[in-house]
Amino acid sequence: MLRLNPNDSFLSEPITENGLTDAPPEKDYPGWEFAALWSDRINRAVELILAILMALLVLDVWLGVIDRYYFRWQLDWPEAFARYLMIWAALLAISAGIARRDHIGLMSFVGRLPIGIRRGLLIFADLVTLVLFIYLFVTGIPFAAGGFGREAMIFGASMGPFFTAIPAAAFLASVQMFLTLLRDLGSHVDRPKREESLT
Amino acid sequence: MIVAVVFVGLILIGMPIGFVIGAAGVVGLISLGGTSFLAISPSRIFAGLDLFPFLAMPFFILAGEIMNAVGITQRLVAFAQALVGRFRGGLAHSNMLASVFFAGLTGSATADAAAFGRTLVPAMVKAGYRRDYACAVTAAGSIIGPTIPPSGLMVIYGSLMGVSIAGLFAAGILPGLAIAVVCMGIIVIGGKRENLPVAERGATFAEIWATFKHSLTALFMPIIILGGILGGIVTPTEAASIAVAYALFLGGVIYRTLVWRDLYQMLIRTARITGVIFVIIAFANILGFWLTFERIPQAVAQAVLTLSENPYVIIAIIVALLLVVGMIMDITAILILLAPVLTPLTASIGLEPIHAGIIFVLALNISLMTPPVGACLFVLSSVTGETVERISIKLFPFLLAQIAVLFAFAFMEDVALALPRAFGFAN
Repeated sequence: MLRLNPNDSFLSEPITENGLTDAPPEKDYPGWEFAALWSDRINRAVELILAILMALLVLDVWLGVIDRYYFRWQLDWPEAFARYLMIWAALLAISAGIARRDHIGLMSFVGRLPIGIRRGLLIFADLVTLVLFIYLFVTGIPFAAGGFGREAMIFGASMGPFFTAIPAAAFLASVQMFLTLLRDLGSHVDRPKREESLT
Repeated sequence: MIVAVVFVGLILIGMPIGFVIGAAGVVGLISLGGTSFLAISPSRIFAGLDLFPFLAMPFFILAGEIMNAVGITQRLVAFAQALVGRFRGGLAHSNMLASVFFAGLTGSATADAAAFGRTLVPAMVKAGYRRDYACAVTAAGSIIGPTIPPSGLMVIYGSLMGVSIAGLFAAGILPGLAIAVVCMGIIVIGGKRENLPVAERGATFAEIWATFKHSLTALFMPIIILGGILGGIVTPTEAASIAVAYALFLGGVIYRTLVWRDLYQMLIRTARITGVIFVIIAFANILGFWLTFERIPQAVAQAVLTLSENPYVIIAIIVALLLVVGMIMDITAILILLAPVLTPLTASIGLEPIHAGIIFVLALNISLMTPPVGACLFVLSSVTGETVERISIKLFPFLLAQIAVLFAFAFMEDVALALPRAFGFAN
């Protein structure tokens, strides 16, 4: 059984934020340890990429501002590059949000149902989400492939690397949704987040 | 019909709203033509997010994260307390005034509610206020944040509807200040009934001056943001990036309270918040395709116009709809879904786009504190331990007053557009 200790190397703040340290699952069911471990590991890697993308985004827009008001090089790429960085970051962040259960639904109704039904419905909701992202991944591949034949406005690059954000993010979201579904099995509402609503 | 059933059904079983919109959108595509439309989703998502004005949002979020982390809240609260702490219910007034100062930094109601719920509510309880009342005051003040610019909702509305974000920012200032004033009025009126404490002494001029100097650098932030944008010097996105630079400068150089290691978490948190909002925008572009294809906005406009053609009645219907839907749904999702649906209606009665935008934003902000799912109520409940029901009861007079402000600005176009017109953003 995986011990949910905040001092564990791979389990610190993220899991604590999800409230798991306060109320671990009642049962030690097969696959839970694997799901919790890999959900967290993948999420940490994604969040590292997110931090890098956000830092690049900040620097890129600063460069655009400095160029516009001081250097006047009239660079045409910072604006387009910033948009694509934002799209990559925002879409990748979906999987981080899934891992941490940041995406919140209306719980007033389902929260009043008996625990068995509630968990069943929440598992169903997770399954629908999983199917949604698998669909997006499947349709995103030809979309991204088509982008390699279209020229972007920056560096003479194609749109392929930027369009790839859709299938890549959908793939990560699918994997994360599968692991999170296995980790929580509809019990996440019974372990309320300690963190306030993000938005 | 099937799309509506899927939408409502999935919402009821607790599926996150962004994913519900996506699933309903895909069902909508299938209902249009089997599998023939299914391939368009990725391009709809990419095109929907590929808007430069959206960039302002993560930057404003990041600036707010940094300002929060470097301890700006305490400075602003101290200044507000020095100014109005002398009156009966001084801490309640301070709470409201600090919300006004805070509004220029974050633009997030829940951030305001969380910050003040942790700091001001315990201080108010210690000073003799009832906890439910302290929470109600904090909730009422929290919506000033996203009303006075910068405001994430205004960025989304402006970007999606092609309306000047700077104009919306200008239009948000007066309603935000009006909400603060009427809420302070409610505090005064209910002061004796609630037996609100009176401070033993008011701050001296020297103390007010000292706290002012202490918070001056923070108070510059909204001046930089608004001055730059309204003066036409910088775009909202550029202003937001400058706000981040200024927040880093304050925390790293002036206050020296910024822990650079924490910046990593701030960047991640900003990305996560952006992701939560953008997934709604992304999927709304799929559902939006179905809505447009089925001519739902036109049908809604026609249906409402059959009820009445009186502009005031139509505005009242729109406001009521937003307030009611805001009780049960995430406000970002409502804005993204309903703004395109309701815009033909507002256009048909000759409502200026900025005026329509500020009505949407105000109504949705107010719905942040209406039960059963008002986000601010839940944030306050979770950080203070007070029940949502008890907060809601004490909140009721504030809610009524804010709805009155909303209707005043909705019905009086000249007042609502006074600042946008003064800065040349509206006719």
